[in-house]
Order: sequence, then structure tokens, then C-alpha cells
Amino acid sequence: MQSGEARFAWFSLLPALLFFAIFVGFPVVYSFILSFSDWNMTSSTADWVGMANYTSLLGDEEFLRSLLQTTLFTIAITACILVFSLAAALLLDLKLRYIQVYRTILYFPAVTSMVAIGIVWVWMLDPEYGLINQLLRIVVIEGPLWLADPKMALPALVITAAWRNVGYFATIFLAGLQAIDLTYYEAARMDGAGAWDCFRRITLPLLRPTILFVVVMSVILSFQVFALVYVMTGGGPAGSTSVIVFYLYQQAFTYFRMGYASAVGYVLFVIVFVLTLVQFKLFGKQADA
Amino acid sequence: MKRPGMLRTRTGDDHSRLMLLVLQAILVAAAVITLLPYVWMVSSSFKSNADIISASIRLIPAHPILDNYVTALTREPVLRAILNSVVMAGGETLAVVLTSIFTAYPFARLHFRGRDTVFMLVLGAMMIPSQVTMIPTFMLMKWLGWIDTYQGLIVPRAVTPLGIFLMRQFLLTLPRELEEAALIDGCGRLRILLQICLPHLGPAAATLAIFTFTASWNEFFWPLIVVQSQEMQTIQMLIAALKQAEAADWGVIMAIITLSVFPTLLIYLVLQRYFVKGVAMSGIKG
Amino acid sequence: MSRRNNELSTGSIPRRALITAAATGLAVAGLPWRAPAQTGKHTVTIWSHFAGTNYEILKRYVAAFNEATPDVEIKTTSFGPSEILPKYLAAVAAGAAPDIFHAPGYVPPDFARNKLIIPLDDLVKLDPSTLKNFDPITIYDGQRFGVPVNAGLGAMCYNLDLFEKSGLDPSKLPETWDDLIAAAGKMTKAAENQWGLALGNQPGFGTAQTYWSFMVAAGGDLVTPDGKASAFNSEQGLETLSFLADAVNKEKISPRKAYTDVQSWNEWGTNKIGSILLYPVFTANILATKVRTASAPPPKKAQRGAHFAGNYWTISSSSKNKEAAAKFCQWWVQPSISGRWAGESGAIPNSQAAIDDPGFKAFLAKNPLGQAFIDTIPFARPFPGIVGLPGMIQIVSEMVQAAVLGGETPKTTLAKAATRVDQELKRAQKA
Repeated sequence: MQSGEARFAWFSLLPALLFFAIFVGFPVVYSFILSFSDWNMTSSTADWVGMANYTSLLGDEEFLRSLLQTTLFTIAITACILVFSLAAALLLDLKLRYIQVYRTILYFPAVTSMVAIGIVWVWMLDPEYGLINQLLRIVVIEGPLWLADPKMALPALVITAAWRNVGYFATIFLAGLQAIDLTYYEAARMDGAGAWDCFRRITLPLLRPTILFVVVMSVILSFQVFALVYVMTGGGPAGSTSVIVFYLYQQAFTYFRMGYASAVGYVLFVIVFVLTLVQFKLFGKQADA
Repeated sequence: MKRPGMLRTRTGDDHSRLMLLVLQAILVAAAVITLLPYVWMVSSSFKSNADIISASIRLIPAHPILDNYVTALTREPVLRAILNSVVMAGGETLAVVLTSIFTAYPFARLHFRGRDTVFMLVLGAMMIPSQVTMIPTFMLMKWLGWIDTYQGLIVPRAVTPLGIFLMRQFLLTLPRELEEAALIDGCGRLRILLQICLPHLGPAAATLAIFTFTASWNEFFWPLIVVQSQEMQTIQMLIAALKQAEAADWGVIMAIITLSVFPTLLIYLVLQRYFVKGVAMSGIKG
Repeated sequence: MSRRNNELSTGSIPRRALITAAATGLAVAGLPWRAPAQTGKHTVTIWSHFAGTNYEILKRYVAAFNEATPDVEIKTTSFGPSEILPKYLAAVAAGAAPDIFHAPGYVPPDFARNKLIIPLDDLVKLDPSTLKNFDPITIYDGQRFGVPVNAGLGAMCYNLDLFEKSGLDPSKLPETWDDLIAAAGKMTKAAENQWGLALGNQPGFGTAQTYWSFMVAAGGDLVTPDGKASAFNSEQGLETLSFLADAVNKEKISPRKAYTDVQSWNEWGTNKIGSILLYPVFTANILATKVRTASAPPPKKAQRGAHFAGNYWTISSSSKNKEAAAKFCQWWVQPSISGRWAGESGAIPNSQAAIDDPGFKAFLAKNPLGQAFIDTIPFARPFPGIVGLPGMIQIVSEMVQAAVLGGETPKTTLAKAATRVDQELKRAQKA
């Protein structure tokens, strides 16, 4: 039976794996090879430079800075998502009238293009005319300069990203919540458990695969954050919002250093891959059981 | 067990009226925060350029005009671009949902050698920034003759690590007991997947469909690289190009963005029904 | 478990989903999967970075050309100016480049050196009065690689309402940097968000233009005469950077804000901005705000100066229709076409003959802001036509924003940027 299972497994995986080999494998291998070259995009030839791209990355201050900023961004946004999306999902799971309307509204930002969000949020964050500072002025606080302040620009992007992603991940949590078998709660209730006990003893443990999914996704997506920076700050002011993929994009398409850019991409890959493995180790085990 | 004047949550908690009011208030606040930027966006789409940029913020336009929509629909190929986006996002969604179910099942349920390695490899593909693989993928399109075609837009994204991952996580939350009985009865894995698991995958499939459609709808760089002709342009390409026009026409851009939001919302609304119904059927019976 | 009882009733969900899916599939299959290929005549593709109104006008011109030239059919596609570069480079890598690439002003030298585009001297004959300002960018190694579509340059626009309200004489517009600072100071009321001067500082081409525009007036240079190293870490370079930074930080005549130049223009309608450095395509929007506005060449420092920008038709090396593509370029540079185009699109014509053309003169007569741009041409200088220009522009623009908003002194920022440019030029120009 075990071998029949394996046969079915591979049979069912084969088309997808074949597909992967062509449409993912080839580009990955190709660009990986490029990362050992000095291809400049505009010429038809490239020289093999060995590890040179990787070794110069280690001494590249701008790269290291973008790495640090990406890490900060990822930690902040993932924390926001864990707290706010889960809270939102619990609220959206209530049997309230019009709950459908709230679910839809909170999902709005996820279906809106980054270009649109960029235009709107640059205005929202405008120190003079922006809605946020206008509202702060009502409570007599002069708001920060947001995107014009090197210290506040990254937090401003986190706020924008949170606004965009909380509803998105709340939808995942909601689906996760609704997949939990209600008989568990019934049984707990019989034993006299309260709401908080139920949340801690049933919801959280059974939500583990979903939490793992959300955290892994959030980390992968945040480490690759690009559009937000591309449309809102261009990496400024004073490089304070330059993130890895934005740095990579600039190396490729402003400085025409495709080989170097590819190396940046693979360093990023290794970082995210290791982080994901760690997350699977940390809270994957029980979920996989 | 239900006490009068209390709200019973789906999971059986009772809440008092006060608690209920507080929860409602939080939801309303969240909705307002979410909606404010849209109010500005939609109201701008009814304003002239001169009115958009003004020192005082008016959420309700003083002189509402329809000109922006007229210009958007007559001057710019908005409808064609939306159609292209619908085809791209719809095709991709269909493909991703189907491929994800079949690919995720072995990762979630079966034991075979190399399972975890292969799974990590698949997942790993998601961690390489697309900006790096974009050019070789495009070369592949050229060899296949798929430049400027719907295949070119859809096929390279027809199997996604995200979809496989999501499906696997959902399959893991399904109780194994469901399948074990069938296994004992001698059912094959394929039949188990199709007859026993599939019906429960409603919420997961709906969720994945919503996500895939949304992501594809908002995808911008891949279409930019694949599309060569005006007729194949997607709505996001149109918006991005217009945004950069030197004589930026903000009203028209806002009108097009407003129009562009609706198809995805529609998909969300339609699939939400399945999503909730699927959940309702899979076990709410007390 | 109680769930098993429900299994039968759930069967309908996937089926319904499948029906929807099948319907979608059919709809997809019914659509044309490929645009049918044109046969019979030479089809020439153009990728333009014009969008919106100007792209609409361009399409009309292309239609007119197609009408007039039976053996050539031009097809155009529009991509945004910042994305057309990745788009084109990916296409070149895969061997799918368009015949004509509408090049932004900073790419011809790099593209020419790497032979992505071809020399046009034998294919297109420019009007003899074509503005000489284009030469540094379009001529590489003695050959011309780009046909100017039109020029663009920055002139100052002043808010006459604010001039009067602040007790300034609207008939005496600022002549020098000091005049500008003084006038802007009078117009500024920070508490009311009213500012005398607004300039772009967001990283990118626009901000580098602004810096270079003032730098020309200061009498400085970006690179050494041989084009191999930076030259802006100089007295003039510092003067320029300090001017931009001090306007925000010291004189406080400009808002402390992250601006693209277009954003700074967009606030004109608030009637709370005293002056801006404007490009001609935007004049129509400025006139539409109904704010009383006057334009003038940028104020002088050591001399008069401004940045001269342009965009170009270039022909890809891989094009199979080079001659047909050249026909379009040749058609375009006729003064009657170029002049009318500039008038309709709000640009500066590419040649003196086009400036003198009735098509453009009619535009000038209608647009009271236009003449200042023409007056600025004689002392407007383009960026140096060097390999590595895109990188240098990026670094310079980042420098400006760092000095304005970053909290470092202009001096340190300038020195850092100069080092980076030196490294970048050395790398880019390496054989």
C-alpha cells in the first residue's frame, strides 16, 4: 500500500513538477548562472566573474543598509498582520447583521492596485494636505513629516502596507477559523470553558497551520516588498526606504548590472529560505503531525 | 442554551449587548479607516483637475462632473484593457486552483521519500524575486512564440507555490478520520481526493481563487514585459502609463482606477458566497 | 463524526464551480489568442513612452503618416516612461525589440555604445536648423543615434496673485537667485502652508534635471571634459546644492516635503505656491487652474542657465525594417510636422524652422506661458552625453533629496555623491 501511495503521489505531482522545471527551473538556473557574470543588459556578451558579485555585495554598504531596512519592515508588518488580521478575522467570524458588508469592505485594499494605493497614500501622508495630519490637527497634534522624514518614511510605508494587507490576511484567518470543527467547542463548553479558554485551547492550536502559512507568506512577501517603495518613495529620503528588491531593480535597470542584481536576488533567496525553514521547525512540527 | 438578549457567536460564545456594541464599533472604525482613501479616490474621479488639487479637502465634489469617465471610456482603451485583465486573471485563477489541489494533496497526506525536500524546493521558487527571473522567462516566451499572447500572460503562472502551500495547509486542517474510513473500504487515493476531500475544499478553493485573481489582476511587471501591442494591454499597464504622463490627468486616472476595482470586488463577492456556504455545509450543524 | 452525514449535500459546490470554470474557459477560448499578422507592406512597430493626451495626439500623427505612406504601416504601443526601459531591455535580450524605440533623454549614449541602436546619419536627414542643444546626447563617436521628437526645458512660473498680495511688483519678475530667494521669502507664510518656491526632490530624472538646471546657471559642470569623472564636487556644485537645501532648511521658503516635480506643479491650483520650475507639457494644466501666472527663463547666478531635455526616435539594431522606420523619422522632422506636433502636445519644437512654423506660432499665440521656454533655449544645456549617464542621474537626484530632507550638510552629501559617480562612471565605461 505504501508503494501504491508513492506511485500516486508522484503521478499527481509529475505534471506540476514538469511544469516547474520548464517555467521556474529554467529561469532560475539561467539567472543563477548570470549572477556569476558581469552581464550589463545592453551588451550581447558577458564575462564570467566567479564569486566577485557575491564578495562585493558583502562590502556594499547600500546593499547592507537595504537588507537591514527590509528586515525592520518585515518584522513590523508581520507583527501588525498577526495581531490585526487575527483580531479582524475573529470579529468577522461573528454572527452579526451586515457582517458580509464588513468582510467585503476590509478586503477592498487587497483588490486595489499598488499604483492606485501609491497615488492615494502619498496624498494621505502629505504633511500639509494629507488626511492623516489633518485629523491629527483636530486633536491638536502636529503630525510627523512622514515620507519627507528619513526616520518616519519606513514607518509610513509599514502603515500603508498594513492598511493594504490586514484585510487580505484576515480572509485567510477567517477561512482557517471556519475550517475548525465546531464539535471541539461544543465539547469544551460542556466542560464549562469560557471564551478566552476556547480561544487559547482550541482556536490557537488548531489555527496553527494557518498561522504558519500567514507568517511564512508575510515574511516571504515582505522581504520581497517592491511596489510600495517603487510607487511611493523611490527609496528616499536619503535612502531610508531602500529595500532589497528595490535595490536589485535599480542595479538591473538603472545601472544595467544584471549580473550583480541576480546575485542580490540569490542572497535574498538564501535569507528567506533559511528563515522559512526555521519557521517550519519552530511551529510547523505539530501542524504537520 | 441561548440566553435572551445575548449574541451567540459561531463558536458558541455568548456576548452581552454592551460587548456587542463595542465589537460593532470596532468593526465600523475599521471599515471607516479602510474606506476613507476610497472616498477620496471616487470623489476625485468626479472632479476637474483644478478641483482635485485644492487647499481645502472636500470629500463631496463642489462641482461634480462626469467628464473624467467620458474621457476614460472614449479616449483610453479601458474596456479592452479590463477584458484582457479578466481573461488573464480568470485563466490564471482556474489553472492555479486546479493544479494546486492535485499538487498539494500528496504533500499534505501521503508519505513518500523526498516529500519534504520537494515541497521546500517548490516553496523555494517563491523566494526568488521575479525581477531576477523575468528576463529568462521572457526568453522562454520568445522561443515558444508566446510573446504578446494570453498564453504568455497565463501559462508561466499556472502553477504557483503559493497555491500549493495554501491548499496543503488547508488539507492539513481536515480531520484524517474522513479519509481513513474510505481507505479501509479500499478506496484509491484519487477517489478519496475527488470524492471526500474536494467537497471540503470549498472555502480553500474560494480563498485561493480570490487571492489568485486579485494578485493576477494587480500584477503589473509580467504583463509589461510580455505584452507588445496596445490590444493586449492590461488595465494595470494602462493606469501605470497614464500616471506617468507628463501632463498627468488626475481625474481621468482616478476614474479608471475606480472602474478597475470593480471586477475584483465582484469576484470576491461571488466567491464569498461559496466560501461561506462551503463552510456552513461542512459542519455547522450543532 | 457528525460531519460525515453532510458529505452528500456538499457535492454541489465544486460542480457549480466547475460549470463556472468551464464557462470561463470557453469565453477565453473564444477570444483572439494572437493578433493577426499584417502582410503586404512593411509593418514598423513603435514603443512610445508618451501616455494619456500626448499619446492620443501621437496616434493621430501616426495615422496621418500611414495615410501618406502606402507601403509602410506603423503600429504603436505606449508604455510609461519609467517602465519602457526594463521593457525594452528585456525585449532586446530575447530578440523581440521594436523597430523604433522612443528613447528617454538619458539612454542614447549607453545604447549607442552597446550597439542596441543604429547610427542614423545615412538614413535620416535632419533639418539644418535642428537645435544644436541635442548634439551631446544624440551624437556618439561622431555619429547621430537619435532623431529628436521634441525638446523640453524648464522655465520659472510665478504666481502673480501672491506677488501682489505680498507687495511685490508683478511686472518685475526675479532676475537672479537672490531676487528669487527674496521674493519667495516675502510670499512665504509657513503657518498657512503658503510657500514661495516648490521644487522636486524625489529620486529620479526630474530632480536631477532641476539640479542641473540651476547648476548650469551657477556655471558648473557635472563631469570633466573627457566625461570620465565627476566634476560637481566644486564651488558651483556646492552653491547649487546649498541653494536647493537652504530653500527648505535655512531660508524656509520651500515646504519640507518629498516632492516629485509633477507633485510640486500639481499644487499650483491651491494658489499657495509662489513659484515653480515648470516643463512646457504642463502649461495647459497650469493655465487651467485659473491662477494668474507669468513665466520667465530661470534666474541667473554666474550666468543664465537651464536644463535642455529631449526625447528621441531611435532605430533598433535588430529591426528588419530599418528603411521603413527611417521613413517615419524623416517624415517627422519636417518643420511643418514637428512644429505642429510641438504646438499640439505642448512641447518645444526640435528645430528653429519648426519654431517658426505657423503650426507652432498658433500655439504660442494662445499660450501666454510658452514664450519664456523659447527664450530659454539659447542658454539651455543638456546632460553630458556620456556612457553611465542613467546611473549618474540617479545618484545626483538621490544627493539632492539627501541634502534637502536627509539632515546632512550639502558639503558631505556632495562629496559622497561625487565618489559614487566616479565609481559608477569607471564601472560603466570599462571597455
